[in-house]
Amino acid sequence: MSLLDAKDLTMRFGGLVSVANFNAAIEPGEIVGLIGPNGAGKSTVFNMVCGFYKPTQGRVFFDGKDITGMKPNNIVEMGLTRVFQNGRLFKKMNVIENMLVGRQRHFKASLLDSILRTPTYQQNEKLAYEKSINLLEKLDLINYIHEEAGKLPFGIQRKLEVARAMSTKPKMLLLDEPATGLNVEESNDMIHFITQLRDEFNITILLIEHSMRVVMSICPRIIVIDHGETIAEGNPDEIRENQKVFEAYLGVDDNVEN
Amino acid sequence: MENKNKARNNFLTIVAVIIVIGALYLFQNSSIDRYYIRILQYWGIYVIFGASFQLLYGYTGLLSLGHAGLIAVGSYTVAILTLEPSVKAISYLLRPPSPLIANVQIPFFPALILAGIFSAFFGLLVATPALRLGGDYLAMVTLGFAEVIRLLFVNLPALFNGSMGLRSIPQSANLVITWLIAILCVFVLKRLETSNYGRNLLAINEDEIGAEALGISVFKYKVSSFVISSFFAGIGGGLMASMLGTIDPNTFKSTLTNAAITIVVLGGMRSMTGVIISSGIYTIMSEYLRVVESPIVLGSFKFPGIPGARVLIFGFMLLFIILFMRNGILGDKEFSWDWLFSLFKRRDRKPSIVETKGGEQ
Ligand SMILES: Nc1ncnc2c1ncn2[C@@H]1O[C@H](COP(=O)(O)OP(=O)(O)OP(=O)(O)O)[C@@H](O)[C@H]1O
Ligand SMILES: [Mg+2]
Repeated sequence: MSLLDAKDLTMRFGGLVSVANFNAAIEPGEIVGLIGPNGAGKSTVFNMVCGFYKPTQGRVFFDGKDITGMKPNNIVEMGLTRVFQNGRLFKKMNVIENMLVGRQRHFKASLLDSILRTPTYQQNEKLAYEKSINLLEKLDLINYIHEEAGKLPFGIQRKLEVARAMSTKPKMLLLDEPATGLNVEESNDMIHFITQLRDEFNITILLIEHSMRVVMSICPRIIVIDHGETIAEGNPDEIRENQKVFEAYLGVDDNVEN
Repeated sequence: MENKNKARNNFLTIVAVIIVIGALYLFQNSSIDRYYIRILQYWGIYVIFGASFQLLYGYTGLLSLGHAGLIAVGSYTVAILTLEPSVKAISYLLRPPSPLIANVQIPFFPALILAGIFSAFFGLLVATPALRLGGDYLAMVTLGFAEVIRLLFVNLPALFNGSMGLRSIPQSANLVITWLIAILCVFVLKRLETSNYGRNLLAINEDEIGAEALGISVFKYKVSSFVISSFFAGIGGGLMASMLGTIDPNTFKSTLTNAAITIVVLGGMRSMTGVIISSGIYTIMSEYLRVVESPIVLGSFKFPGIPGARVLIFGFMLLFIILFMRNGILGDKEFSWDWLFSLFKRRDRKPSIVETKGGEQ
């Protein structure tokens, strides 16, 4: 059974169709790339899947359950976490605090517990620290643990944001252009980072990325959308040779679908 | 090592609290002018107003303009519940007291708890719809709420005795009780703020959408912080009613809301120490600035007092802080014993969170 199953997702804003009949079935453990030119509708797909937009049409199933129209925080509870295109770190908080906020959904202590600092509270807090530190160590971010997030180098900020999403312990991650704005070295680092997530945590990923180099090197399967329409799907080689994709990226003919 | 410090610090804190309370006790029983006792008591109450407002404004990042209304709910609760039935019978002049309240009288402490609970309930009633509309509406809705509350007091004379207000409220809260409760409130709020709860509020304050995307129910956190803040505002209000002995709808004008805002902005958005200091400054200033509202005679010149000048001065002060002292007095720094000792020992060893956690094993 697919982990994520998007069926006929359509998003209309007034007259504008941002996404039309988007379909994707993603199996557990897969890393799938979602690419397309600027304004193609990629982020809109994420917003519909994660509950930030209510799709005009279509349904989203995650882990066998219909999550269409559910609130974003409840979707995280189900094990689906996204990372935004334009970073949303808590910049004034330090690295470990960012991670701890991500762990909140595993925190089982009441307000009364936290006022009285009961053993329950202390165990939870201790566990949260340990798990967060553990994750930071594995992901090679431990050296920044007490640094203010907003003051980190940009490449590290992007990594931290993915790490923070990981601390929700998701089954699946949606990454929206994690390598945008990174230099070659940083983006190689990001490629390594994402492969590491797949190998060590066995996590399923849907990845939006502009850089063909990044997508081609990580994703065995790629979906291409343009003007909201899905124009191609296949492995990197098939995508490279696909005429429609070529045209979409060159902008040769905008009405290629007709 | 860290543990030893922790035990030492807790011990010092307890000793300090005992000394402060002891000093207040001596003060209270000395022959000192009651006027000064009153100022100190006001200070304790303003600490509660400030601290409760800080949770909402400094942590969650929500601006409420209705604190005075919530304080009023607490004040009237304590007043009505502790007033003797015989006093009610003679002081409700506009209408006889409603049978709902005519024969009710309970001791001060349960009344004070109920004051908190009623305020929290009204907080819930206001915050839920306002926050559903989105954060920007909160300021407007709460401002309206505070006015509506005042109008209710005026227009339901059988319950609240209208604009005549309530008199002869038993003055159960003396200086020591007031400060004991203030310290307890500060303690509880600080514990909340330094727990995962406070951390999540700060995350929401910085980036709501980011927090939501990590599974945090932003709405629930906003509402709950509003309700908790309201609870403590109600406690402060209850103490105030008991101190004043007389309240009427005009006791709860927006000046009280402005006071809470000023205290938090002046003291530091996230510093409890700051709130305690700035409430003192605020209380003392607002007493001594009465001078500018009364006529001054300098030699043969007589300057007329300017009514409302205090509000003007506080307004300018707020403006000045916002423009030139962004972080208030303390920002998010807190007094700590370690800091105090480091003033004497020049060896700086910053305790780190990880070390603390590691040390506990
Ligand atoms: N909330 C919205 N209201 C109106 N139009 C929107 C909204 N969100 C997205 N759109 C429109 O939908 C289209 C697709 O936007 P989207 O952000 O999904 O593109 P994208 O593929 O992520 O592009 P990029 O590569 O630049 O991030 C754009 O034309 C955009 O203007
Ligand atoms: Mg996008």
